Amino acid sequence: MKELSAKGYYLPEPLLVDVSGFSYSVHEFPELDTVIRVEFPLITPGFLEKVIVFLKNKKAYLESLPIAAIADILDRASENWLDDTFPKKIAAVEAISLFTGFSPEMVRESIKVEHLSSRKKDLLRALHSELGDPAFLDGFHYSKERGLLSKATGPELTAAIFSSNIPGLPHLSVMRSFLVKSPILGKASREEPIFPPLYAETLKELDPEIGNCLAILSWRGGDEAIENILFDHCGVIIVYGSEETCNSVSKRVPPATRVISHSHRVGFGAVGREALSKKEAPGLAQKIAYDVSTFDQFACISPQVYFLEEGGQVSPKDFMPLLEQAMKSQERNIPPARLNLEDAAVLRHLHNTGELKELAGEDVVLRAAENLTWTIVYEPLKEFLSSPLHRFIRIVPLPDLKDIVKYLAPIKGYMQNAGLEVGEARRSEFCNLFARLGVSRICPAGKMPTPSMMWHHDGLPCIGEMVRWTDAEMF
Amino acid sequence: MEYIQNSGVTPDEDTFNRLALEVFSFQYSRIPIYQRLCDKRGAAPGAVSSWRDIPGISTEGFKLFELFSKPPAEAIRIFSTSGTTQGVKKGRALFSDEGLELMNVAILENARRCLFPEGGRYRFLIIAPPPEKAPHMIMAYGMEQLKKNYGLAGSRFLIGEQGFVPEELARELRQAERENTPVALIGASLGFLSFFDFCAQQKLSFDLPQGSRTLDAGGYKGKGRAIAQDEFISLITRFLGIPPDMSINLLGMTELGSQFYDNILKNRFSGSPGARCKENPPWTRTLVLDPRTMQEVPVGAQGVLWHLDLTNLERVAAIQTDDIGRRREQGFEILGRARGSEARGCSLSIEEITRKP
Repeated sequence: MKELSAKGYYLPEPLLVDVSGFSYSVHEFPELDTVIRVEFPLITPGFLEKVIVFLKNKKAYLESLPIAAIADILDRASENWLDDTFPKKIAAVEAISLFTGFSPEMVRESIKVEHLSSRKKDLLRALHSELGDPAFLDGFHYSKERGLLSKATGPELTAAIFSSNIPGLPHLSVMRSFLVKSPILGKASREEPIFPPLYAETLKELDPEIGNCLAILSWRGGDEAIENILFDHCGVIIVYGSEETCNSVSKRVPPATRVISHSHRVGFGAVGREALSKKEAPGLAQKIAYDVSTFDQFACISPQVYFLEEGGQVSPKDFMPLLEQAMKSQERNIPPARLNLEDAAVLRHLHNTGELKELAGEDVVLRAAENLTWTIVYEPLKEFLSSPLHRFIRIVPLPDLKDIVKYLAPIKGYMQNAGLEVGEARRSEFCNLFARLGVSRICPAGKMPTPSMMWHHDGLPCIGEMVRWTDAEMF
Repeated sequence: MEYIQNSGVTPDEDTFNRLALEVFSFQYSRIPIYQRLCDKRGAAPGAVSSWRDIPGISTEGFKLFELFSKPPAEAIRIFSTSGTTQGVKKGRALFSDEGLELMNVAILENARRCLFPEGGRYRFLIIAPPPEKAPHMIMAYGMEQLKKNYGLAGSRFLIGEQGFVPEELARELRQAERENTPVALIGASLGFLSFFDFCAQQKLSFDLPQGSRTLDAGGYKGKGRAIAQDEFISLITRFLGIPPDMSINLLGMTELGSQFYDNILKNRFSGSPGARCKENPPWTRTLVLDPRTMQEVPVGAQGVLWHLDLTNLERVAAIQTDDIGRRREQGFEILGRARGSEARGCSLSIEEITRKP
């Protein structure tokens, strides 16, 4: 049996002497003949307070760095993580694949998607977009619109609670925090404690002192004795998790603390008949298959249903064989995640149900891999049904794409991302509709998994929310 | 029917296989949707030589279709699944009078083997509504059959107009203690739990006469609680004074005419060793299949349960469930229903959105 070990934490060097001991969690993956042992420092309230005080003292260092220098360091970190030969990436891909069940190819793809949008130009553009000018972070800077000097200041300390669903994603919270010159303490998920410490190490190697501005720890989520100490000391808390987790955090923070929540959301696609021409349909099928297959649908930006309008050259039903081919080619490019028993049982049950409906002559078409690795179902549903994930997409035919509102209205406020393919003439109509329903991103099919740094994630200016402004009028 | 009544004496694999294939062939020819399913899977009767290869129809099939091999007019009784989610169609199982008779024989034979192996009659206290109040509930029907055949005077159903009144059950149990009459306390698992809550609150416990036993069905999940079976059994011992091996669980499904009992009470009287699990009565088989491959899993491993029940003569005998279970040397264990990837990743399940607090 292959034995791996990993660190489930990152601490600035001077804090290591304060660690009173370690605990280990051992994860066995018998099907893969591998065992992995992860080391975690014991976390006591006293130790956590020391970490907090230490990090807060490093705020001065971040303030002393020009924002361009910080963006440089983050840029070089992303450059490292985009390089498939970077040793930390090689280690991360293997371990994250074990922990999450994603194929190594998918972990690599996910890290690529995350870091491609995290280059210096992206970071500076995001600061321009949300603050007006990154220079507001470096000192008092004249604002033409306001006719005065302003400075944007990030919190003394940011806390972040990471999730495990998207490999490489925790780097985004670290970047946001450093971009507003705030030290950060991150809580790694026990389901995927691998990436955050490795990313922190990368930053330390690029700039040892910036390596003293962050810590990654892990504890049982909801442990109030620990979390309340942390919440009392943070200006901003970024939370990734279920609605329950996010609400539980919001309830416990002091009133002055800002909570930026990223809870569960769904994505969907909408295709007008004008996009279903004979010429365009095969390419469109490839794009939809990419949207569905990337992250194996475990991202809030992944589509769970694609609505296709009838009346085009290719009917929604005739689109099915094209999509089937495309799903197969995606499977070859990026193999699907391991299926656990429970997910497989649900998928098998849905396959059996679809098969029966099809055999009974209902207007249902189910095409799927025999081993459950992907599933496409054509079905004129009456309501929006969420997907069991694992590349399971429902294609819902609509006589008129406008009917989509009937499906989306009941889940208003819970939609993240829309893949939209309609002609110029109808674009603004649907964009406005989706905006009213609380959708936070609209993009063409094939682009759903790849938002940019500019995107208002969950509809929020995520960097803008982290700073507080000081305006000076006397100069 | 004869096979059921004799099967305790002469369990015979060849006879079972022959009967199973006959039943399969009959159902294939009578139930069009089942025929199409078998044809699509390349498993028409001519191509199947072992009961293991008979295609199982999804439990969903009982919601979508009337799976009945006889003319609809012959269906004199319909049982339906509880249908946990609103708006979801209920599964329906149709019975003719012959079908009911076949099920009755199976119920009694099964109870004789697993619940009353030493014979005798008992005072039945039943945490379920009587059949006349719940005509579509197969559990109520089955318990009525047990009461009729093994019950002493004073046996009764305990869920009435007022719902379940724990005080009433407590009174009955005290009376049985005084009269030294052995009790068969049977019914819904969750009903037992609510009675134990009542006992804990009132600081009540009982020491029921020797020979008393419990049979619960329906599972330990619901109404915001979920406990493990061993915890349930320790509550039985604590509040009722019934030893663990006199307390058994039953897996019953509306879709099946037969039920699966824990083997532990039977083993106590036959002196057989072996840990608690569900054992198939001889006229049934259960396979634990890996849902990824639909191959049988090794002993000790988990999978989804497939049942074959010859008493389902007039419906479909082979059923594919989405229940997750573990294969055991002597049978199987049931672990619960597959719930899916709900709320995993940051993809939100609609069930979570629409769930009311």
